[in-house]
Amino acid sequence: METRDILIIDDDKDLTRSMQAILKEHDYNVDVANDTETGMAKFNARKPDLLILDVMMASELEGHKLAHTIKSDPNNKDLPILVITGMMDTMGVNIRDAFEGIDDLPNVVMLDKPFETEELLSRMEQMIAGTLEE
Amino acid sequence: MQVPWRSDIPVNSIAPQSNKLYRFALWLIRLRWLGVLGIVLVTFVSSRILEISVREHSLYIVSAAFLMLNILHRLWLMKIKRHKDRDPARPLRLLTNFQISTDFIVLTLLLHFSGGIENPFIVYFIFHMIMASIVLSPRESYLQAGFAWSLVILLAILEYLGIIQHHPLEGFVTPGLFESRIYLFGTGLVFISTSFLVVYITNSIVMQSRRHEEAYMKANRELEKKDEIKNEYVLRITHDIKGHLAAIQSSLDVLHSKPEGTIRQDFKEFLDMASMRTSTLISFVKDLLYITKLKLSNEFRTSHFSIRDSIQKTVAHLELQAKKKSIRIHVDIDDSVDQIAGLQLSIEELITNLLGNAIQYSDHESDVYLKVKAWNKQVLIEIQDHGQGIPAQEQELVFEEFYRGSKTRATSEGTGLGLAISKKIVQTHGGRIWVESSEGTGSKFCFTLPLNGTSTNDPPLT
Repeated sequence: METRDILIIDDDKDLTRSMQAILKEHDYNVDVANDTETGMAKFNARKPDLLILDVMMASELEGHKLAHTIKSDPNNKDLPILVITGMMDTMGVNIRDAFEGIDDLPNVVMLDKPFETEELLSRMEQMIAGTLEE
Repeated sequence: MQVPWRSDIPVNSIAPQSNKLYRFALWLIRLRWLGVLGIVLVTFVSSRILEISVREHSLYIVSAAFLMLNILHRLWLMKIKRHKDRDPARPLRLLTNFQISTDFIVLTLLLHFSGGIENPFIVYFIFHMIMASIVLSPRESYLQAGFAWSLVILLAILEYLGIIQHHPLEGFVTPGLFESRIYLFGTGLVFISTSFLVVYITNSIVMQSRRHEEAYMKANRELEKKDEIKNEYVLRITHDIKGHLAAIQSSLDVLHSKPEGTIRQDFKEFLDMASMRTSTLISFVKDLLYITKLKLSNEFRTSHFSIRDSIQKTVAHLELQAKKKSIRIHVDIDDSVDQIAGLQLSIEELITNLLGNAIQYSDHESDVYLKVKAWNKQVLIEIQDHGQGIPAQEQELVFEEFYRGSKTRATSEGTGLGLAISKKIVQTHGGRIWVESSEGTGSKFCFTLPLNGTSTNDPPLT
C-alpha cells in the first residue's frame, strides 16, 4: 500500500503533534500547519490525499472559509476533507449559520472533537477509499 | 362548573389576556345554559308547587329569548376564534361587554314578570358586576354597574308610575311594596351602595393581583433570560474544554499506540488511569452539552419512526456490553406498537441511557427485561434489572441533574446527568418517567411516550 499524504491544519499545536504521531504509527505521511496561511502554502506546494481541517482557528471560522476556498477550485472537488470541530454540539444555538453549507461540499465529512483514534482512522480510510456513504 | 377558566383551546395561538377573556366568555356561555334551566325550574316550582303568583308564560318566553341569546353568544365566540390572524382582544372585550349587558336586560325582564323591585333575586345583578370587575377594565366595570342601576331604577319608576304593569309576587312578598316610596328608596340605596362597594372592592383586589402577576411575570422573564445566558455560557465553555480534551486524549493515544513493552508496566497503569478518566470527562462534557442543548432548544420537530426498530437497534448496540457481564437482555414488544412521532435520535439516546444503566448496575449473569406496551394512546416502556436497587429515599432524586446515588457515588463511572437527560427527553415529548425499585432486588425504570408526539413546550397557562 502506498503511503498517503495527509495535511493537518489546526491551531492547537498539542493536538496536531499527537495526531501526527498517531497517524505516523499508522503509516501515513503527515504534514502539519498551525495557521491557515502556512496551511494554504503547504497545501498548494504539495496537494495531500486527505486534508484534516479545524473549523475554528484563532477564534475565527478560518477553517470554514478555507474549506470553501479549496472546494471552489474544481480540481479539488474529489479531495477528501475531514473537518474536525468541537462545535458540532453547540450548533443550533447561535453559530448554526457559520456551518451552513460546509457539509454539503463534495467529499467533506465532519468529525466532532474529541474523537476516538479508531474513529478518526476508520473515517480517514473510508474517505481515501471513497467508500464513505454520505 | 368547578373551574372557571378551563383550558380547552390552544393557548399558544393567542395572547394571555385574550386567552383569559376567551375562556371567560366560554365559561359564561356554559353557565348560562344552566341559568336557562334554573329559571325554568324556579318558575315552575314557584308557580305550580309554591303557588306564588308569577307570570309563568312570560317568564318562559324570556327564558327562550335568553336561550336564543346564548346561542348567539356562542356563534359569535366561534367566529372570533376562526379569525386566527386578527388580534382577538377587541372583539372579545366587545362580546364580554355585550354578554354582561344583555344578561342585565334579561334579568330586569325576569324581575319585571316576578314582582319587579320587590323580588329578592335583584341581588343577582351583583354576580355579573363581580365578573365584569374581574375580566374587564375598572372603567368598563363601573359603566356596566351604572347600566344595571339605570335598569333597576327605570323598572322601579315605570312600575311606580303605573306606566308598565306591576306583577306582584303574591304568596311570597307583602303586596304593594313597589308603591311605597320609603321602600323604593331604601331598597335602591341598599342595592346601589352594596353593588358599588362590591365593584370597588373587586376592582381593588384585581388590580393588586394584576400588579403582583405583572411583577412576577417580569421576574420570570428575567430569570429565563439569565438562564439562557448561563446555558449559552456553558456551551461556550464546554467547547473550549472539548478542545483541551481532544489534545489530551490524542496525546494519551500516542502512548497507547506504542508496541507492547515500550512502556514500563507500572507507568502503563497510570497511563490507563489517565485514559479512563479522560474518557469519563469526555462523556461528562458531552452529556452536559446535550442537556444544555435540550434546554435551549425551542424546536420540536417530530418525525414518524418505528420505535420497534429503534429499540432493536439500541439493544444491538448494547449487546456487547451485556455479553461482557453475561447478562441476557429479553425484549418483549407488543404487536400493536410500531410507529410513533417524536425526536428519533433523542428517544434512542433515552433507551440507550436506561438500558445501559440496567446493564451497568446489574449483577453478572442476570437478566434485563425490556417491555413495550401500548397503553392509553401512549407507549409504555419498562426496563427492569436485577441489580442492587435504589433506596426509597433516593428514587425521586435520581432524575435530578448531577445527583449520584449513594451506591454509585464511589465509582468514577457515570456523569450524574444520564437520568436527567432521560427525564428531559421524556418531558419534551409530553410523557412521564418514574422508577420502581427495592433494595436488593433491582430497579424498574418506566416511561411513557404519547403516540402522536405531543410537545409540552407550550407556554404555561396564565
